[in-house]
Amino acid sequence: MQEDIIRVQSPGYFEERGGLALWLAASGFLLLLLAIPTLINPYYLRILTIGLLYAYLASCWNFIGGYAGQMSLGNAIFFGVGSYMAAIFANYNVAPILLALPAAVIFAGVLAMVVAKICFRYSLRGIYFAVGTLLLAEIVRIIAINSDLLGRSQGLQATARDGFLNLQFANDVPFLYIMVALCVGIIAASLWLEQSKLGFDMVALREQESAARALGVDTDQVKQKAFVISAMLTAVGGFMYGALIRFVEPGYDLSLAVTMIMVMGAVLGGRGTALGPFVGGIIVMMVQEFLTAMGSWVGTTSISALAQMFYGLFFVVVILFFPKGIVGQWIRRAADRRMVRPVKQKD
Amino acid sequence: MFISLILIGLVSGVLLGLVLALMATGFNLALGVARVVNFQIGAMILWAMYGTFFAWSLLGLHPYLAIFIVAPSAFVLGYLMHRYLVIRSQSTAEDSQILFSLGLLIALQYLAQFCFSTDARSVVADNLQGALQFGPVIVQYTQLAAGAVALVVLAAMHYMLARTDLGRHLHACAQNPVGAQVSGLNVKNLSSVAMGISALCASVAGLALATLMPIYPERAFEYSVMAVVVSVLGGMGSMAGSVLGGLLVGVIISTCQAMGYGAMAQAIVYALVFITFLIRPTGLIKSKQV
Repeated sequence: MQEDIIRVQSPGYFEERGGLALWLAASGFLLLLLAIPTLINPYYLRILTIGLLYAYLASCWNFIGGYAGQMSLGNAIFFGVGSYMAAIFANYNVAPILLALPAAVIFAGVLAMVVAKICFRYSLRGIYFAVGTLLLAEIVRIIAINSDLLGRSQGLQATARDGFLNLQFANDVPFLYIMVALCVGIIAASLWLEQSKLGFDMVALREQESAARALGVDTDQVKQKAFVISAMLTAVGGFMYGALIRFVEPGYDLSLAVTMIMVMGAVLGGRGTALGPFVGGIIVMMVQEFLTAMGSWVGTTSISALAQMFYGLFFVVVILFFPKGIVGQWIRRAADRRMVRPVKQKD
Repeated sequence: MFISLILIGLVSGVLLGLVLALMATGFNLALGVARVVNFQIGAMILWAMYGTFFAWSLLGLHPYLAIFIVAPSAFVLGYLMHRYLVIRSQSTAEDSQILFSLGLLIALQYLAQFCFSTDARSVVADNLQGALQFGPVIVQYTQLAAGAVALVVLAAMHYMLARTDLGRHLHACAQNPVGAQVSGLNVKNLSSVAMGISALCASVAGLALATLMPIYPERAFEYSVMAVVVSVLGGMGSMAGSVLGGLLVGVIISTCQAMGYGAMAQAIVYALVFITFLIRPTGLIKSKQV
């Protein structure tokens, strides 16, 4: 009598990352976006661009919060650096707005380096790191509200100037293309990270810091790298937002709302997966847009508050029912199926 | 002139500080006993402010008499919320719990905005108008009353924690939940009670704040951050720490306001707390657990 033997199969490349179907769907979605922009109306074009921006930002946060497992609630600072840099360059006519991009990335990198050096030198972790970065973001916001250069609480208008270097286009199509490129880029970067030394170090750090240390991983260095990379990429996203919307204000650009979009996209999709934050960011956009549409359909102003309330409840529900995120849950289920698949042994 | 500004800041800072200490004690209890990162405390404070306002405007109650309605209902709501909702998040990772409570905070804040709109409202207690004057220092009666009520509730909390059976049970839960369970305590229930008491502290703080400042929904997040900041500064898990932290933060804020740097007061406090995080993560007073 031959017993069923439970054999663990080594997972395939896509199986380990959410399944081939999911990847095909995501690439199909991106290709579709490249094909249709001239066919859809400008409003939805803008919404789609913003959705891709959310997906991109969630992927940025994923580097520090997902792979490295450090719950940063301060990424709004770097988003603000990007968008404010764009607005300052345009508003004060410093240089073409495109030059704000390298300036923002360098500034965000240096700032993140300083913050990381301080935070990780004194080994802030867990809730301390979360609250600490949240406090830093609040400090930056208060400074922006009280600074004339940054336009106080009214914010800054990025004056429109002609020319390609000022990223002034007739419609949002170029922005959509740029965002598609950025999303593809960051997913590719995540995939590369997953099989690089740095990526493995990050995962080791996330799973158990002391064990990682014992294995010779310089965890402080890894955290620092993850934080700086995440910050610089976030600044690119902030810059794109500033160039697209052409208006920045501390009440949004530096607020918890932006951080929550990033964190929620990543958590909903699946922390520490390459495709998860992309999926999550798109879903966050769809939920927001759905709630706004419902609000304007019902047609009272207080409904927007109700929409925000459902948005908050949406977080609560996601955390209760998808603690590993959608893609994360998929991977887990696939792994479970593999583990229990009985295989008849030949004798 | 400078001295008198400092004095004004000191006196009103101490009175405000007592209210802040109450908020922080609420946050502390929830974290220590129930192990809940209670970011939603700001929303509880906000809702207590609205409760006070409507008890005053619709029922014609004096704001400080409304305490007999607001505080017990806050306790019950806090208890039920933990028992049926928050406890479900306890099995997830610590950072997910932070997000969970931030989500709750956002939901409750915007529920308030939906119900009551963004208009600023204020409670006017008729017999608390006017002020005491000692030389250059002017203290509003409302400030005195707020400080006094907060002090009374803080003293009651201290008595409850230090001298009663319930207090000892809460201590046991905070120090070692498994041990407490083994000795026959209902840890789950005690956690819910702790969350109820946390909401009660928040509601009394909200009630006192309602007489001091205009009420509008956007401030919920700020209150949460304040509660967290004060309890961390003083030392998580220490009630004496919360009081010390509250007084310190209150004095800093009030002094800054008296000197005309009101806008930067919060930034200064946050920076101070961030530095405390770095060099003394245990806070000013190291905890003997709640």
